[in-house]
Amino acid sequence: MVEKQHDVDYTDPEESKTTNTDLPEVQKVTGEEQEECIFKMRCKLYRMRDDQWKERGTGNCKLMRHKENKKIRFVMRQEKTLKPVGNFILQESPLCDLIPMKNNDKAYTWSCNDCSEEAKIEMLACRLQTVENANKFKEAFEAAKKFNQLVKDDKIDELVYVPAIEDIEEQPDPADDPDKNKTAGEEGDAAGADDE
Amino acid sequence: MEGQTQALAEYKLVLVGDGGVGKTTFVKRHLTGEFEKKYIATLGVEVHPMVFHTNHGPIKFNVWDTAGQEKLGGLRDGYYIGGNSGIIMFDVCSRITYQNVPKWYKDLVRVCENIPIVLVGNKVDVKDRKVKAKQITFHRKKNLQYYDISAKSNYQFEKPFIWLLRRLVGDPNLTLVEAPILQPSELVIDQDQIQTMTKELEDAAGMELPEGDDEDF
Repeated sequence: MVEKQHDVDYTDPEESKTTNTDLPEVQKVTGEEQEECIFKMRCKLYRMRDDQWKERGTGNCKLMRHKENKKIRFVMRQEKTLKPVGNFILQESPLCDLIPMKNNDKAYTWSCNDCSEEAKIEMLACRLQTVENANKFKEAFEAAKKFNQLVKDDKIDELVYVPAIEDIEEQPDPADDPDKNKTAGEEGDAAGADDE
Repeated sequence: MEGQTQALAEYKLVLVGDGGVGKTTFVKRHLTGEFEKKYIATLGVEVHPMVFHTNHGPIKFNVWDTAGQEKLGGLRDGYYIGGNSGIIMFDVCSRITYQNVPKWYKDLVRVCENIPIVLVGNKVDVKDRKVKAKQITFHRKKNLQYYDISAKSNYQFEKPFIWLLRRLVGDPNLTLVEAPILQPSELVIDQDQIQTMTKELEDAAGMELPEGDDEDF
């Protein structure tokens, strides 16, 4: 191949601004510090877009109860990237009414004011791993919704507190060593992707 | 979510590789969670901001998702100017897309000297893999990082970004952390809305989920 010569000045006057960074470590803020986790389950979350169900994320959905105002919200982050994909208060009907999906006995749909991006009424759907899990999800979701209604109506003595559970994010897998420079062969074998 | 926190640093990331290897699908997967099956060739370039929350604070990549198809290339290496990092993608089910990697690499480093570059082989979820792991050697000669990924199964889909962030920030132990998630607001629904919403939800409950019920996760 013939080496082409530069015919354009490729130096970028903006470059020094973006590359010269000195970023100290910072304390992480999850936004969930004032809450306790009362339910956690692996699921796939979907969002209605252009009259179709589109995948939104895979990971643990959680029900988080605020220590002061008592309200329970649904929080979910995409696993691995930890970006929010679901964030809403379990509000009164017609929001947060669970409807079973007609063709799937492990999934439910509902409407909510989702704030994972900008606040917006969204139709979401959630698929659990088993029918049993789907039933547990429904039970916890509906109990939380009822709990929030009682909080709203100031019927504090009627509240039934579900005990808090441990909420520790999974540790990164040990194979994920910093800057490991494995060869492609090792990577592929570890992945089981090479099916020779 | 992306707008809730001000990024502390911004980097331009140039994403290149042959047409159809999955560059746009990979970007969309990260942005919305959606897995796009349809192939719509990218014209010229599409730029997407993508924020990652790390133990060094929020950091933004401006991802320049470039056209892979030669005839739709637009300004081509004009898009590479000012790139701070690069991803070269090929499809492990298509040998020619791997054979073209040196060409993409050469074009990229001609404009962006000394930037961290990751080579990624996409579609490793497909049973009939053509470019076997042991045949992937280009990165060794050029001292690039390599990852098998799948935009469909999300296998290692975060790894290229983490590796680039580690290089750019200069911390080999950098990790992603939970993005802060604000308290959601509540909403009052007026009576007229209720009927429409109930109807819409009933319809939605009858529609198939992508992948239906047959895919494990």
